[in-house]
Amino acid sequence: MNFLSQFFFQPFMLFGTLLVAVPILIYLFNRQRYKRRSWAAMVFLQRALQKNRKRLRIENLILLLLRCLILFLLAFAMARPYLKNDSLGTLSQGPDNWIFAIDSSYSMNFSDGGRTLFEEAKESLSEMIQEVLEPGDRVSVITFDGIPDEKVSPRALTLENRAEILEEVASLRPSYRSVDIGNSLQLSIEVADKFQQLSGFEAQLESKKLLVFSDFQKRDWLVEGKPKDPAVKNLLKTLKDKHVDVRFADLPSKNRNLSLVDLTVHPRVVSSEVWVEIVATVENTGREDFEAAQLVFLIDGQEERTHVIRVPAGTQVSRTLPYQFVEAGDHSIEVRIQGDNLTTDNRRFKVVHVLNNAEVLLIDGEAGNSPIERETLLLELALMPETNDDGFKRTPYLPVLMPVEQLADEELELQDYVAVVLANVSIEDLPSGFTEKLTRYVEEGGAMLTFLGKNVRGSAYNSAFKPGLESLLPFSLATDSSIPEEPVQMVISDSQHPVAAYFEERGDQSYLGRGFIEVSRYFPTKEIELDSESEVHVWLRYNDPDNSPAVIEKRLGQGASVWFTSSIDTEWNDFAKYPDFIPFIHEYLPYLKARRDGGVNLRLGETLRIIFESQDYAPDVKILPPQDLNVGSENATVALTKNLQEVQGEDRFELVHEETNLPGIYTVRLKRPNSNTIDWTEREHHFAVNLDPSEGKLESVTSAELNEHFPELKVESFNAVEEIAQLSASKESQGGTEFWRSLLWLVLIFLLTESVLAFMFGRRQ
Amino acid sequence: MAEPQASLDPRKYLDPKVLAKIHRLEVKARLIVEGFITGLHKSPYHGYSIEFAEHREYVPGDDIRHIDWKVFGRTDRFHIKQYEEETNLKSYILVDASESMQYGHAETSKYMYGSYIAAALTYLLLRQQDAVGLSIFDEKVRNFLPPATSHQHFMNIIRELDSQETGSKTNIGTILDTFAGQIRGKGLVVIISDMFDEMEHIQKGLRHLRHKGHEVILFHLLDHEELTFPFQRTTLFEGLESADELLIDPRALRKAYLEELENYKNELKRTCRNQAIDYIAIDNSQKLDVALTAYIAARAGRMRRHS
Repeated sequence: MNFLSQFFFQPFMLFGTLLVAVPILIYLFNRQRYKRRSWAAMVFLQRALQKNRKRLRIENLILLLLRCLILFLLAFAMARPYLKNDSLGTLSQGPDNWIFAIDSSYSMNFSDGGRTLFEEAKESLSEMIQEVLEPGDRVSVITFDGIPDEKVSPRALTLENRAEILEEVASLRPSYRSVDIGNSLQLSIEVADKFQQLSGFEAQLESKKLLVFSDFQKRDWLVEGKPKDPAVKNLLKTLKDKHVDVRFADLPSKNRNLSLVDLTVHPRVVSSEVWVEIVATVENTGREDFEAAQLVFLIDGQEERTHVIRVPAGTQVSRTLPYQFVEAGDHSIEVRIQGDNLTTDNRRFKVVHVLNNAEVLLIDGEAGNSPIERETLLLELALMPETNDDGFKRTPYLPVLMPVEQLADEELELQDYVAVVLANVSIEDLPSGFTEKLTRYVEEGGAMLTFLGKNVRGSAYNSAFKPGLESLLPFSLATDSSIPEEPVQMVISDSQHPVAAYFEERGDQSYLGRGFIEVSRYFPTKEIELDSESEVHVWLRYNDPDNSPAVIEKRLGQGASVWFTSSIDTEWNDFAKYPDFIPFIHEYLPYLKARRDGGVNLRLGETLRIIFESQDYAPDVKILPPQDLNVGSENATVALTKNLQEVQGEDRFELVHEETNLPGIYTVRLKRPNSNTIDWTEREHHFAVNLDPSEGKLESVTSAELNEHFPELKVESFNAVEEIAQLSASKESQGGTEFWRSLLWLVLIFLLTESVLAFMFGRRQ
Repeated sequence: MAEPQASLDPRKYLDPKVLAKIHRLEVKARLIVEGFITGLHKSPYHGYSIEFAEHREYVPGDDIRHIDWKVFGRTDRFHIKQYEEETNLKSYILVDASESMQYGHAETSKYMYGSYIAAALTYLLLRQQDAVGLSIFDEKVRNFLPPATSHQHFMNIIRELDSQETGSKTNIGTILDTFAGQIRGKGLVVIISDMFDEMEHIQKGLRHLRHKGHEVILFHLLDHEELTFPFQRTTLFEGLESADELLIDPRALRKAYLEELENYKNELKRTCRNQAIDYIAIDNSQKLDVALTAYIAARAGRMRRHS
């Protein structure tokens, strides 16, 4: 069949040529089934037969052959034979192999008023499948995307499945992702391999065409004049080795786009009634100025403010909305920009968890009797709420003092605090199981700050926290604190750290930045060998000979644990006396908190993980995804039901949600049974998913640039229209001619001849 | 012109299909002749009386009994009734009853059709006082009724015709030859046959008849299917007078067959013309007046020749 399919579009119709037996069978059958008739005038018949025997035999033979020939030609014509008429060996070439790739990144949503580039690409592709491809050609359709996908697996095109494939193409939709050229080419190679499986051994040498419909954004291919992904060159070479001819159908877009590139809230810890600044940043990624673009802020779905802004080409413009959240809980923020040609990147989302008060739990190991004796007094003062002249809250925090002795008496939900501080606490004073509780609290996004002091015994801490990469304590503490002969100074050792950066930036005004703060006693630490993945940062050290760490930050789960190796009060150092202490606390806490927020503000495709402490929730959770604007607003979103997963061996439940391929605000609905009624209380959480705004950079790569950086491509024509015209023309000349029409004419002529001859031979009156 | 009502019109009995429904041959014969005579008034032969064919003037030697005294009373001349003289004409009807005559399409075989002609002629001839004899033959003469004029004779002839089964081969040449030798005097010999025999034998027999001075009328009777060969399907033809079988596609051979048949007929016609024999081709699907008219015409011609 494979061999025959080189000459016939419907080789199985060749079985029809067996029909030639039919006239012969009819002839033989008729000779068996005759009528008997008594006849008087035999003598004339005999004479007639004698004279005409030879002629009759010839006539019969001619008619029989003619009838057989007609049936044979008919079956032959139905098999649709064709002759390749290219200059190379006409008979060695099989059908064409096509891999069609459509760029489904969101930049393909660009529209100059009419259809989007994606729609244009789909139509061009449909046209090709309909008009250029012939039955017998093999075809596959894939998407070039961040997650490339095989939409139509390789198959031989037939008259029957053509409609199916066209339908599949029509149903294609762009994603909200960017293209990953490497992954997409990798998929192309896999598909090319499938073609080989499809046609067996002989196809190893068969050429395949990969036609990519795309807007060919420069950012996908080149970064700073170099190939973005060095693997692409190798992948292209592999394709070439597999006889895949890569062609480009460029759909040019005008480089005119506004992207919402950023949406932030300051400060990061938000409590109710504290004014915050919501900052949206718009970038004009194109070459044209936008004179009056509308920037709209929406809080919880309500329009709050509209700015009309001017965004010159190539610049970023930020606008701020001062805002005061009234109620605690999850709030969604959305900003929109209007007035450009690519709308997909015109929205950005954020979910803010607003606290009533950002309570900080201060566990004091030396609470004493009077406030002045408290270890945490200065920290308390630093965290005390402040109001401005109008009576508005200026800081979100509320310190909650907890002498370590009372810890056992209280039923504490650590989750309720933005941070937990241990200050000069003796491990022995902590209730049993409290370190595990702390670990879990940090893993779920809590911030723990530990300050040491004379109550601390290094060995007890080491045995309680078990220093290691999976622990809250990344370094083991020395058994005892060390008192240097001369006080040492704290110096910033890693200015990349955001908190360090705050002091560095302030340079001369910062005592910490200048290394003025003296420490007379501290715990040396034994550093564990770290790799880059361990998420341990030491950004403040003492200038002792060992450069011992002063501040050690350890990321654990979604939270962080910070160790200050000296005391919080002024007994071992005088840090708390310096004005730097207050910004140190106020910069560090939101920074740590931001980690936790990151959990509900996701990138497209990132997995959502939320841990629920209580077992009280019903295990089924409803997740309401945002609307898919690529599908159309009339399609209502469908709520998904998910089950909470029990965390192994613990009384916690985890919600894992991986389907975050739509940008927008997602709503999670949990149910919690009321204690005294049979009702459920619904509780809503929100999370936001944002796309990568850099996909909005529409600047296209040129064919010259592609040829320069990827010489194996040899891009000739680039424009989609030209490329398709060229491919069609080459298909025409290569594809060969069909001659079933001529054959049918021949059949008709033979039929006519048969009739005339039969009439002449007296077989018909 | 309005056709006479079919049920009243005796001419409908000229149709062999209609006749086939009537059982008794003598009734058929009468009906044919009635129909024929009715038709005659509209034919070119109108005015030609069968009963009183013609008067002619008396010449010495004529029988005085035949003088028409009524005419004498009017014209004062002796006229002789012509029929009186013709009564002396002896007619012999020779009917072929060989196997091949059994063939016929529909319900009328060639033999049946031939016997209609024979019966009708007999009736017609007896009506005008001619003596009619009958001979039925196949390869030899089966029956021979010498010419007579009585009504009883008519019934005898009818019975003979009716009782015959066809059988055996044709041997018409020899029969004619024999027959010519047997009958005395000159007469009118009417041959009703498909003439399936060797042409040479036929020629010899006819020549002999003529040599004896007989007037001969040949009704060459063929079946409609034999004349047209209308068959479509492959057919095994089995010879009626021989054991031969032929499996052929009739459509393929039709033209050739018809050619052969035509050649034969032409040959026969030519023979007849040379021998001054009236040759009348009869198709057994035709109406019977064709045969009778032909007979009348032939007889008229003969009388003209003799007068």
